[in-house]
Amino acid sequence: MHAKRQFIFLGTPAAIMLVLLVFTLGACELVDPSKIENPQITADNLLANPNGGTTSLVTGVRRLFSATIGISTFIGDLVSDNLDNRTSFYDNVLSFPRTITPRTFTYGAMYENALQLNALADFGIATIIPNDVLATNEQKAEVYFYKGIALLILGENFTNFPITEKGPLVSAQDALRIAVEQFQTAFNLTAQSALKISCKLARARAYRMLGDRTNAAAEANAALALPGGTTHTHMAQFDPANLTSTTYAAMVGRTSNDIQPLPRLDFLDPKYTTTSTSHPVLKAEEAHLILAEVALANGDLAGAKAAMRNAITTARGRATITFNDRDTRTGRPNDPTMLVKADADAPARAGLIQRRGGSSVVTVYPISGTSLTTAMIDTLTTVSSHFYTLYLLRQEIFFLEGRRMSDLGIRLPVTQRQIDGNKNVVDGGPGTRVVVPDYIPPNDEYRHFTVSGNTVTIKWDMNRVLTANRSRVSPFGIQ
Amino acid sequence: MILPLSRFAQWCISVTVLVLSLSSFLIAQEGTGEVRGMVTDAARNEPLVGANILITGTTMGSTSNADGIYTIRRVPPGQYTITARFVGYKPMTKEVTIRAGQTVTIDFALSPTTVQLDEVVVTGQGVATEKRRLPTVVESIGSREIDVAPVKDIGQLLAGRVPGLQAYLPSGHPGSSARLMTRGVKTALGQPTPVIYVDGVRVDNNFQGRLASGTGGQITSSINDLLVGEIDRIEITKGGAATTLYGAEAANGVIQIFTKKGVPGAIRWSLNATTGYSEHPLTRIYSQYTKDRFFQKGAYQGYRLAASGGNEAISYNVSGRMSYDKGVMTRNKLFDKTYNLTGGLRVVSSELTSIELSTSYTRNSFGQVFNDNAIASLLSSLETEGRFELSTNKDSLFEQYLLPDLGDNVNRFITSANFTYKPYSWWDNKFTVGVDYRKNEQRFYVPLEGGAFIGTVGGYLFRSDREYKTLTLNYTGSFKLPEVGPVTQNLVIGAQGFRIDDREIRGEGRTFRIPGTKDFDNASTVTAFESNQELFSYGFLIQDQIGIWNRLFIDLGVRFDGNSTFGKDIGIQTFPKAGIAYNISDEEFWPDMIKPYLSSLKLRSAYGVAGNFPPPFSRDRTFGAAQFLNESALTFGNPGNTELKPEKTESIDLGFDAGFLDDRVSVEFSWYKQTTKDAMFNVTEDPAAGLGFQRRNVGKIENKGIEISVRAMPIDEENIQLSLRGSYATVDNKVVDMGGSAPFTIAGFAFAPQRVELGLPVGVIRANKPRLEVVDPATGRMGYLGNSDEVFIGSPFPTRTMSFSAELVLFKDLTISGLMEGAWGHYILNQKLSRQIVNALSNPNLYQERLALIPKVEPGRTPYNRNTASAVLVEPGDWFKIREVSIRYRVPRNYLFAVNGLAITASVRNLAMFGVKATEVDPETSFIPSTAIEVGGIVGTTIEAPRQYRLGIDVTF
Repeated sequence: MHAKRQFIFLGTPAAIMLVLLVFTLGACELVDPSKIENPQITADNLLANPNGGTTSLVTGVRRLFSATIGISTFIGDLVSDNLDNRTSFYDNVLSFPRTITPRTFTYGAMYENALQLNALADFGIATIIPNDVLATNEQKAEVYFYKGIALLILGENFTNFPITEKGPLVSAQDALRIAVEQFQTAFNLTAQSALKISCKLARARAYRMLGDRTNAAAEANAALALPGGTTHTHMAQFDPANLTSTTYAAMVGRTSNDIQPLPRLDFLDPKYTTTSTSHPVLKAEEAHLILAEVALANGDLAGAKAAMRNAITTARGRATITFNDRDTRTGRPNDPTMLVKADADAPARAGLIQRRGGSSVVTVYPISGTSLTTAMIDTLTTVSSHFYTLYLLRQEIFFLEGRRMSDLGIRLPVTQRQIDGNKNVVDGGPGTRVVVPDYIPPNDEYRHFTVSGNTVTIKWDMNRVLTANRSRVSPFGIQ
Repeated sequence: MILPLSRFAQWCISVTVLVLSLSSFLIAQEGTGEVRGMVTDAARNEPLVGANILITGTTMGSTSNADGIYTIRRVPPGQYTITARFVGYKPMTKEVTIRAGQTVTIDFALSPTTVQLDEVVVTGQGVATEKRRLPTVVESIGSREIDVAPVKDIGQLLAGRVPGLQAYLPSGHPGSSARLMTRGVKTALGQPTPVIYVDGVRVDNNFQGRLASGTGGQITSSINDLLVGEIDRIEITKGGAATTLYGAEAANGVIQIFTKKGVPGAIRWSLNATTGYSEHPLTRIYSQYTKDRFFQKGAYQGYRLAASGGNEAISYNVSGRMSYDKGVMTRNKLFDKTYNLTGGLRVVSSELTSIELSTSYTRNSFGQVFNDNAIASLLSSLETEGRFELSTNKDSLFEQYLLPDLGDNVNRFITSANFTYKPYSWWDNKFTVGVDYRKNEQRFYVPLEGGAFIGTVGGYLFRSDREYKTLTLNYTGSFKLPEVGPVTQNLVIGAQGFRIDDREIRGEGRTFRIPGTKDFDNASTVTAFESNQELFSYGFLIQDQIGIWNRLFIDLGVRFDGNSTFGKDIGIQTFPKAGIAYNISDEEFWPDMIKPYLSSLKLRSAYGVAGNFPPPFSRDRTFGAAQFLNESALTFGNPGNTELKPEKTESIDLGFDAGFLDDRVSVEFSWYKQTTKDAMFNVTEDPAAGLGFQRRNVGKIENKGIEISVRAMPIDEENIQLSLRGSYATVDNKVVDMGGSAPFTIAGFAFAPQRVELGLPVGVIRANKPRLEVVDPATGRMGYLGNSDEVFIGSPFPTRTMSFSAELVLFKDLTISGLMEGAWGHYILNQKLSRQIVNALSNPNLYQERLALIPKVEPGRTPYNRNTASAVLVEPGDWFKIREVSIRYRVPRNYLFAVNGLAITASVRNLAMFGVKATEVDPETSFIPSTAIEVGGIVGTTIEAPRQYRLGIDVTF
């Protein structure tokens, strides 16, 4: 008994140690809990598999393009007389443009998405495309094109911003010039007529912003001359499950928002009726509008008339759909018999307000809509009336395309993150303050209106204001 | 051939070599004797159940059974010292001589004490150590207190019971648990929750996952299914030197839970049946319709059956329980059902070895609803929107909101094995292995007939699964070194490894064309998301506990840590500690005349470092592949940081533990300062690079404060005993260095974000305060012109906390107890008010009285709105609550037949709240953004902790 116990006690630690030793040398490999693998795409494994990488790059820039458009169409209209933010989680500061600062949270995605689109295109052009033997010219063309779009959106809506990591500030004009080059590179690479037209339209739009009436007109005409040019649209597409437009969510989903159009634009709302309705970004109407603006700058009223008639014809030729809008326009005009006066002195117009809610069905213009007719153009006489009509056409045709803020002359500041993340961007320095021309009425008055009896009277007709200040508004430096 | 070995293999070898090198042969034992006796309460002459009786210097020991009897068998002949301990009583030591074949009877009559210096704890020391030797504070809660607490989970239990630990309930929703925080916030991006161990095994202490629905601001917590069931005791440490030995994850403190392993004796059954109901206090509800329709009195029933017994070689504790709370929302939408099976086993296989096994399975299923900021929140719509206030068809709208089903099912296993091997009286080895496995499924279903709900039409199904597994391996060896003169030394060495696998998947199905279908098979489109994380951590520790004259104790230690979350350029991280404890009242020079008044005094001071490791993979530069139009879109991901390392919290503790009036009053006082260096901040990358933020170790955060805890037993007579306990703690938190990086937002809203700003508390609220200015220079009249100033307001979490509890025992059998706590010195953003004000501004029929808070501007000036006057939404967060009141009557044994014990308990939890300054919200609650750090500071429209009435009966037989 004694000997056996001693044996057990001598044996126990030895056995434990033997097991531990075996475990250490062999079994540890079997149960090793220390192996860790990151399931994400790391920099190493992205660059280790170059072939075909351009395909996901192109989808990546398309996606960021749509994300940028999805927010810029909304912000560009919200910070303008087009929309009224009645109760919403969107920052009310955007309704008071002079109070916008780099810390105004809600517009940041517009700026940063555009920069991200530019950066992803740059990264792809520098890193992925040169290593991908499968990359096609069409794919390359798209990457350059979307880089151009990013710079175009930035150039239209901001004054100064860096376009490379920790890089210097670039002025809007310089960014637009770079954009023009990108569109030309894309034009040269692509064999697709549709993309060629888009490149031309985008160049026309950039040259307009640069005040280059010759090139703007030439590119606009070139776009229209290409096959399909007179009906062309370049759309930003959305994915109902993975990427929807902020504009849709705010205007149609009305999830937590009550954002309403100015009553005079009521007939155009809602432009986008489903989560995946595409948003037009470049369209033939713009070529006509640019040509009209160039003609006016050149003092050619007849040419302007002709171009505006073309714009109206094109817009009125676009497809329409019908839609059961559930919004009841709480506290807002919702009666088709109501008349709208653009301001106290303006004539009262009918047909601008539709009935919504219940089973009412409204006509919707997913691409372009306008209340003007070619006959109305024919009656124009004064220079002012031509400018006024041009501005109204731009407002209606580009409704919910994010263009109105820029057309009003308002420019947003870069975001606080941009100031924090780049020493070349100094708070208080170029690009960091909102630009609101002094002809813009105080506070948020440009969206105020009153209802009296059957008539809605808007406080400020901003197209009249623009017309009065056209020497400052027009990019073509007219007198 | 030498093979390249993994880190883990190296770890294994280290442990093996250690044991091999120190091991030697053992000597067999002679014939043995036996000790037995009874442990009683000296004043009341009643048996004490569960007291520990240990033979000093051996693993031999026992636990007193239900009759207070203990037996220690197979004791080799010799002279021994035997100590009996029981939480809340002074330990007692007796000498005994054992002879072969004889039984010696040694009884212990223990006296209660408020001083805890002789209690034994293990947390932070690696081995069981008396509190008198510790240079830091380790709080403990014993089974006597735990068993009668009317709470469900650990988070609720800790509320008000530990000075310096904030355990506040973010809401009364089932599935949520207290937000645990010790000594302030030591990180700007991590979570403040302490690490939790159950029987030595690291367990999930996280809030809800990355892909789950945050339901608008109330997230669930895995602490909710750490049930207050078969717990023997809990030890709580608060970071710094007390947790240095836990290395790179212990900056927030460590909570250790030890489960019951049974007491020797014949099998003893205990049955508990509890009934009652829960109700919402309704005092902070705005709308009468909400009061009338939204809430209900929810019935509660709970049952527990446990068996415990064994002998000194094997003891066990097995229990099963279930409970069903129908919840305070109508239609039982917030029901809470829990099932649990727990088993604990202790096997003393020889004088040298023992094994403890514990396992527990918990099944929790509960309903959830959207709240706070969620579009789909019924409560928010009722309380803050016009949808109901203006509707002429409230009832049908109400029914529409009730159609969706949202809930969660949790299955959780925790299992542990602890193997103790003590080859010599001076050498103790402990191996721990265990697993915590938690799987939950959150499911949200909007039926086809739900119509357009949160933007979906035609039905919507959401399912989010999280599977969490952590494996813990631990070895601790302790060596009692030979005494040199008055100096004793205890050397502790250890190695620890743990691995976490945290896998999440989310699916969303849309458009269910056929009514009645409820799973993804029937959805027209299905999208899925996955997020997987894993990490491995390993560490080594060495500690020397030096005792001089058994009164002065010096504690030196260091832990070395490696972790798969550290950047590639970061090697092993070091965490040192040093401390001193001086039991000055044990000195001979301590005057006798003072002793009756100041009966014991320990002075202590400690320095130590503990860490907080980064989230998995945040060190890597990554790209993403987003789904877009059925293609894979390249996106930028994390910028990457090869120098990412743990945040290191350096802590200095000074304090004393004193006993007064023959230890009838005790005071614990601590002053602490904790400085987190290398704090991870979200450093802004240039948006021009298309990148967002990257965690970089650039910040420094400081927390300092005091903690005072007083226990007193003013009355200790045979038929009346009164014990009181109070505590007060302060914490002042601020960011002391930004490392040149820009301030950033961690939570909140555009109009009032929670910020990390230099010189201010983490999560400070930035708001716009209307500016009072001279409007008429002629008269000097002041007024508002519509201008605002940016202001930073408060600490988002309480800077002052208190608790007070009392227990009165009358005629031995009637116990009346109460617990209250309070918190103040902080501010909250009242998001309920914010929503009401926004809607009041847009509609003259809504919440107009709320507009009185916003200053009126001079005529012709732009009025303030929610954004330009957001400071009015930030209100003091003060609150005081009567947390628990209970009455327990134990039927005297001589009235009983057929059963051994019978007790009836009536209790109320969350009885009342007072001292509140915020408008119509419970400031204890918080609106939790599911991805950000949870520091409190925002309170929305949520369901506050309900008032719970319970009546329970306990029978033992």
